[in-house]
Amino acid sequence: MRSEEEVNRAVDRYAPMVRRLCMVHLKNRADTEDIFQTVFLKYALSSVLFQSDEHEKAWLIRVTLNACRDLLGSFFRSRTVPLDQVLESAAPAGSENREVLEAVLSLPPKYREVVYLHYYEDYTAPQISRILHKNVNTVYTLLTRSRRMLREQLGGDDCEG
Amino acid sequence: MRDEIKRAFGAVQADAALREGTKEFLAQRLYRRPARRLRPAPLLACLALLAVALAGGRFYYTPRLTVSIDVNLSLELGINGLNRVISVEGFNSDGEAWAETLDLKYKDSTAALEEILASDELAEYLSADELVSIAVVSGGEEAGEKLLAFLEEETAGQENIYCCSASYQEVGPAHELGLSYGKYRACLALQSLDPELDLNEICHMTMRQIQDMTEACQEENGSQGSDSSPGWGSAGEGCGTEGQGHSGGQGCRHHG
Repeated sequence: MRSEEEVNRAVDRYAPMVRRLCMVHLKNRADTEDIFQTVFLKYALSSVLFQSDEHEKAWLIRVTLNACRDLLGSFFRSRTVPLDQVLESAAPAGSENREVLEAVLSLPPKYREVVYLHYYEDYTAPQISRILHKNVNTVYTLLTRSRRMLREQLGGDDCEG
Repeated sequence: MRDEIKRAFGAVQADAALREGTKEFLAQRLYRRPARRLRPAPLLACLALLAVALAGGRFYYTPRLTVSIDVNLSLELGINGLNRVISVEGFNSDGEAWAETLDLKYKDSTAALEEILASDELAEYLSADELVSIAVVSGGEEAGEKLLAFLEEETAGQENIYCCSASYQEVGPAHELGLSYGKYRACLALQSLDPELDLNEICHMTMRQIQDMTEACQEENGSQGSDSSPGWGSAGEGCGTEGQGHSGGQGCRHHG
């Protein structure tokens, strides 16, 4: 088991990332809190020796996305909340960021993950394929389609990865 | 578009409540042992058991009677309310040496006294015409009287063994002076006949010497008749000082 100090350091460092991944899955506040607890409890109890910060970060992304999916399958949990409610807490109405977030979060779930990982976390398609355990060609396809959909919504043509 | 997406997601942060709530959850779950709630029933049972054990131990190891055996040596047996010997203590070097050789602890008091009366050490003293005093010291309990009656019966016909009784109140200061109760009682009796006598001097005498000096004082005071028993006690009687008379300030030191 990892020390309390080490776990608190990971919470401070990766909380924003976990929060964004929860948002990508349209989680409400209560589910987000549950996912935080699940993810960092697994981190504390894990005996994985991370070879680098990148290794640690990728591990946490994978665990967070799995936790989000697991919660979807729970009968007693609210599955997702309306996009407006998610955006309300993340970007106030009329703000510059709201339109972009609205465009990303309105994509089908499998596209949202790759968009976030590629455009925000700067992972390449092969890296995303390893994190999500998907075929790399599938990732390329998802990225191409999501790029087209975003272009349609936001306009412009400068979103090549 | 990349920059816009970065900026939009970058504005999404985890608030302090989310971070601190997670840390607190983990601390409670993993790093802090919850305060163990003491279950009252087992605790009370343990306390009751402990109280019974302490009370039982206190009862068992509290002497109700003391038998003081004095010749030259001085030895005391502490006897509890169950008539078991709970201590064997010597009050001079001879007494300590004898106590070392005796295995009387936890024996029935009468069995222990029978063993002492039949011992070679006591026989040796008696054959040397020494006087043996056996004093039963109690707080006035019936058990003291019964034990004295037992000793009188056991020593009947033994000319040089004298049994008597005393109370703790009478002989209380004995141990502070390093004396056994029986020896202290005899010393007090002699000193009452001759107040000029120094207790520190008397206490180094044998019981035979104390008896001889007591008799001399009594003869000098003319207060004792033809009774040949020691002035500080006699077989079958309490060893009180009543009827022994006092020197009236006159010295009666018996110097052979």
